[in-house]
Amino acid sequence: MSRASGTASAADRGAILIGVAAIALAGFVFGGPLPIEFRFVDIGPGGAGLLVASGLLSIVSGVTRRRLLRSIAGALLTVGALAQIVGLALSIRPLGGDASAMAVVGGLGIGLLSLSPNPSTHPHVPTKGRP
Amino acid sequence: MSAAVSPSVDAPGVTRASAIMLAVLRCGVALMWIQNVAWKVPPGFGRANNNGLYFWASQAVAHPVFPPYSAFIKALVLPNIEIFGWFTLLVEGGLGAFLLIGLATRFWAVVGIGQTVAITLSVLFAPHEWQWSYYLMGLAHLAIFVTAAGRSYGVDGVLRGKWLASSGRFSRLMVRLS
Repeated sequence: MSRASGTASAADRGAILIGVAAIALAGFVFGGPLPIEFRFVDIGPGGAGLLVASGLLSIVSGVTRRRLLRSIAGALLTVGALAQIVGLALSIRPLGGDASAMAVVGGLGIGLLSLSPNPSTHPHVPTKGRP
Repeated sequence: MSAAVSPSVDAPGVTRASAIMLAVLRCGVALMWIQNVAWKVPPGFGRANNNGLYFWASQAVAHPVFPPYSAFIKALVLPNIEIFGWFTLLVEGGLGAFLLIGLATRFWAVVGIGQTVAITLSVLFAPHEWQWSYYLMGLAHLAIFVTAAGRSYGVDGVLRGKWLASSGRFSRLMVRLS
């Protein structure tokens, strides 16, 4: 399992942030009573469970700086989103809810997969002179 | 020029407060797309009951804004709503997904402007619509584009340094899209 030494990198912090966002967005599973104006995501218990599990895995990956855990969390979410797309075509909903669940789960999964190959020791150099 | 306010921010000259507000703007617009992709329901996208995407697309014909666009909707989109519906679902789902995490943000901001134009041309003259909803949608995406909002607490901000340091074709492309 890949684990870098030193302090947490931007990718590790990003994984923690995405993990927290995943767990927070899973809260929409209880959003049924909310007025439609505030029901931003429609997701079922299966999708919420996937978000919480992957979110926890992502946070652990950021804290312990293990990129493999981040990859697993990202892959779980991305596969979940792909299953929801296929399910929409077949009028079944693996994650519950609707296409909004697909967008949230897929976005967070792609984000984690994007951060996975980034070496944790990569120095952060702010861009200069770019708009 | 100030130093980076956080490892998650690659936007020189942007204060921490401004970076947080840019991230809020980006995620807020993402949630708009996420909430509105929900009523794009395959396979018919509302054709059977004249509701959903089919109904709103037909507003371009019932209340034309730009006659050539209305003709395009009538001749191509409505008869093939099952195909264009999936295109709309994937584009708007992609907008929600990528703006939420801030990856390739400037590219998706341009896509958002394009989708806003398409929606505006469909429903601007429909009854009970507030025209500024659509103007503001376009302006919000413009703000995301010019501020490169994914560099503030987005994946772009984390990976951009790596992309800039690389001479690979993919990295050069991502530098432009972020």
